[in-house]
Amino acid sequence: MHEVTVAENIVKIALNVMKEHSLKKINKINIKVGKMSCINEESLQFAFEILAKESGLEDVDLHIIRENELFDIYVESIEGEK
Amino acid sequence: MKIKVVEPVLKANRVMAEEIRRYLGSKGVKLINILGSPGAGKTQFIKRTLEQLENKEIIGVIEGDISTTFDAEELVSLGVEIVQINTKGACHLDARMIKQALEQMRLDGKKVIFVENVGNLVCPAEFPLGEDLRILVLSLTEGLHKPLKYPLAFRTSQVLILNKSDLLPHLDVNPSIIREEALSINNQMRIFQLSSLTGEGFSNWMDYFQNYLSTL
Ligand SMILES: Nc1nc2c(ncn2[C@@H]2O[C@H](COP(=O)(O)OP(=O)(O)OP(=O)(O)O)[C@@H](O)[C@H]2O)c(=O)[nH]1
Ligand SMILES: [Mg+2]
Repeated sequence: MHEVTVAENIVKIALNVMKEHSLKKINKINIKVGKMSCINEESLQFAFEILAKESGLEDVDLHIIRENELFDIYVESIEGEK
Repeated sequence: MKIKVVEPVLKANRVMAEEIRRYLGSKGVKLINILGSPGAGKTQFIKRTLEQLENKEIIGVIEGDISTTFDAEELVSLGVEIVQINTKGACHLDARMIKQALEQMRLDGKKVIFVENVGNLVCPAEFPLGEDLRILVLSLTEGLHKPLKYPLAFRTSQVLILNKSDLLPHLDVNPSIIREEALSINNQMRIFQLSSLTGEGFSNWMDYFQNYLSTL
């Protein structure tokens, strides 16, 4: 229900990583979501798409991995180009 | 290239919650986060708990609502200090809101701050506020299987209040099924079945709470 907050934070983390590693482009963000986390994947994708575009991140694939034991939401890894 | 990150998405909230916990700890104050669905009886539960307490001045209350101040008004007559937060739409309280609310609260002489979260069984569970104890209020009128439908709230709370026990004769609900399901999600959970309206079953909870207070 707070997918927008989650999406905002994912974008923030991605932008930080982009700067830290001097990436030109981000292609894919892998996030892990605990099965107990009540995050709706479609709403998250929707919110992410809009917010990413606003921050200049285009064509980024947000890949959601569901984890059994976890009840957190993590940015696992980011794939991009220098 | 692939860069390993492993950063919690809601880390900012978590970091601030931890700051709050430490700050309150240095003042000898504990925060109790009370969550549950709209109408589960959170306000009524806080009210009766306060009514049954002799030394109310050690308690402060932060009332979280999307809008309005009805719940805070409900508690005003008890003479405890109350700070109202209106989330203006947000479906949960977050640590930043608590930090702001705490700036308005006198902490001297206080031991416990009750925080009534926004009525919602989903989102608040994901936002720690710096609490020492999390209490989930579930009313028996909400029916069966809530622990399995909303596991995170049950997993992250230490105390479960099965409220509105006075209504049981009118309901087709077997509380022991809810208990079993809750324990299957969180086997450490302390469960109290009571009525915040009539007070039945309340003494077990008050014993627990008095004991909690005595350890502070
Ligand atoms: N019969 C009965 N009614 C109760 C009990 N506890 C609360 N109520 C009633 O249930 C309604 C909702 O109670 P509240 O305490 O306002 O519920 P809440 O969880 O604070 O609701 P929100 O703040 O809106 O999320 C009120 O009409 C209360 O009088 C109870 O133990 N038994
Ligand atoms: Mg209330």
